[in-house]
Amino acid sequence: MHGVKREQLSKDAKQRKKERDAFKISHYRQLTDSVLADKQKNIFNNDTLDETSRLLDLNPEFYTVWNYRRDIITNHVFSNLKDSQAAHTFILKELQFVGKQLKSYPKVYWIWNHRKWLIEQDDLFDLKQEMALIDKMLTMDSRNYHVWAYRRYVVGLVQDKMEHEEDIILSNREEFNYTTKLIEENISNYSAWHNRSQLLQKLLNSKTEGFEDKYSFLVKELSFLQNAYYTDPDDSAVWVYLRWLLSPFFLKDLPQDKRNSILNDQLRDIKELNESEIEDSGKPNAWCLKSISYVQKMMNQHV
Amino acid sequence: MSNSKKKVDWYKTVLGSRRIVEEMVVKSETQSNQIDTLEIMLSSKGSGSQKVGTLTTEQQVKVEDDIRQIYESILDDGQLPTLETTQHRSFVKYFLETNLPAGFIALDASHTWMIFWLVNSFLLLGGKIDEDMSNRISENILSYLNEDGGFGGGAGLISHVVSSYAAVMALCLSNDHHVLDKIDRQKTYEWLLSLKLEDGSFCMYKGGEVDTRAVYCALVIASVLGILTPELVAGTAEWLGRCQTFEGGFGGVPGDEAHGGYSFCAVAALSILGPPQEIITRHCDLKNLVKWSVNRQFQLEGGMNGRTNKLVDGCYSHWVGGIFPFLELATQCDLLDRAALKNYILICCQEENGGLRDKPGKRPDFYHTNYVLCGLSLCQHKAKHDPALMTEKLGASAFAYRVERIKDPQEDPANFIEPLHPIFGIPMNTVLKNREL
Ligand SMILES: [Zn+2]
Repeated sequence: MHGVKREQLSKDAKQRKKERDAFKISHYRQLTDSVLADKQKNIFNNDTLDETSRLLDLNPEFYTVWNYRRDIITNHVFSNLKDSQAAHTFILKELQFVGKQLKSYPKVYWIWNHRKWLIEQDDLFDLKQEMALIDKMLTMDSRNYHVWAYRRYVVGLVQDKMEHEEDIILSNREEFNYTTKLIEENISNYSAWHNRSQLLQKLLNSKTEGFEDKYSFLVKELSFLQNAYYTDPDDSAVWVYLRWLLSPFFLKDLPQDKRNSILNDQLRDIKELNESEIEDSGKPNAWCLKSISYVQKMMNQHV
Repeated sequence: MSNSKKKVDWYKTVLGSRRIVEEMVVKSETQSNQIDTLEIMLSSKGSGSQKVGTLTTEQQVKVEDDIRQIYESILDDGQLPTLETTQHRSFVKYFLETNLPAGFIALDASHTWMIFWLVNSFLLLGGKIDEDMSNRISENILSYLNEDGGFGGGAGLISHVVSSYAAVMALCLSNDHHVLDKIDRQKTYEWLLSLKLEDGSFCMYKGGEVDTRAVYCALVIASVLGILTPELVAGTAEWLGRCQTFEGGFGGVPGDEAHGGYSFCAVAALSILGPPQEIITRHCDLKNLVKWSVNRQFQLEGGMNGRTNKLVDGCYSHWVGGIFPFLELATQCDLLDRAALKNYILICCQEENGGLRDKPGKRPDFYHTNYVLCGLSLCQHKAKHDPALMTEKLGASAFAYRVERIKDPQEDPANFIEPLHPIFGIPMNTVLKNREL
């Protein structure tokens, strides 16, 4: 129905595809049977490790095989290594294998899970290098859910190893600045807004410079946000975030006059934006209307 | 308070402006048929901005343009498509009965899922399962049952909680009343317990990842098999509550971004533990959840997305749409624009040769076929939670639903589809059958 018409394969091409498929399937079946049989017998050696590589190349979604591979690494590879340097070397190689898989299949759970496990096994691993890979993957797809979750996880590992509170704060600050950079590149990147929301709560708790008092932070954050909603008043991410900044979570600790001044300023600016939208398109902007009414509600709530 | 007044009030807290709200409510109550709805959808300017050229907005504008054109051509014809039940049923049946081509290798670890999606679609479309098919389903599924009491995704695969969910659901669908007794409930219980983590969450398999899907699947399995205990779910509702973000939806784990699939799993899992009107308010911010869910539905497209600033996709008709029955019970008013969603499904998600899809231009697949059909069922029904069906037993709430067809004289009977259980995602009668035992 109303879909884009796709080309039909010719009869010959269909037949050839069928033959290719049959070959692929039988090759895949043989390999699968052999790997699962070896797994059943708990065979852990270099051959079975290679076998799992080949099978995972064909089907990276084969979670049981990732699991088997982990058992081979634990029971064979690691037990035959002489020191953590040797383990480190092996893990780097293994991470390359996983990295190659992730390039083609950036949304497969098991691959991410394997990667997490690997870096946990390596005491010498340089997590900075991992952050570089994450940055790169987010350049390719800035909304990939798995990559964002993995980023928070790796940052968590980095911070777990830190001894000084200041270093943790600095790390959170760097992450916060990273979201600023991504949002400046693309205000519609809601995953960046979300991560920002998590980080700023941590930073506010630590009362570090620029975050020591909620009021000055809010004024600064709202002006950053204003740039965004003036750039594109139709973008929902910005408005969802605005509403959060103006929620009791932030406003409840402010003295009455500061609270009023923030709400008044926002009301004025959004109304102004709405007026210019009406001039431009003849219609009010729905997000502006919603936000105006929300701000008004917040104003009345306290009085 | 009249329903319409209540609805205005709800929308007001959710959306803010009274003007927009009243317009919406008046609109929805005067909608006499799908064509009127389509006109209203087309009057929306769309959510993609014409102003800046970011990739996100460019893609959004492209989808809107495509869909607007499709809707306009429908209005020109004055003829709405109906559900191509026969086509879809033969699409599903073909795959139920044939070997799969090599392209499906990636699904090799998802055998239980494929069977579940296909059989569920078949039943939603009014298909009947004969003895032969019933045997094939249960034989197949039971061959994936492992010694530890869980199911693998295919032959020889380790037990996995998500594959096990699909397996147990497929057995419920198999029309064999005694098949669940072939599962050693004690073993399955111990296996589920072994996946439970201290914070109340569950992992997929030993050493596997944790998220709200794992929790949902574990709770559904326990609930259907009658092995839900306080020990199994200690701390679980609290953990789920922690997955709600400031936006209102749920992430996969605490700290992650709100997402349609994880949100459905969180809300449905909570609703296993108690009536939605009580349990949701107890463990999360209902208003924020309503706000986030309502914002997922596009005014122009009529369908839903799974996250802020993502594109419409047919499968979210279930993952996000499926949250609404719980929200409607908790708030006692209509919150979903069913007519608009129905238009999106019938006009944009049906493939000419059978099967349902994400959006125009995408290929149909088993996954989308099932979840788009679930979404369509949602559009035609309303769930009630009947206290008379409740008992003191933990998990009894999940079996206290009545799902009724919304009376709509304009509805073409060709579009009729079976009522769906709001938590389990399978036809109501298959749940009831298994419950009686
Ligand atoms: Zn989809």
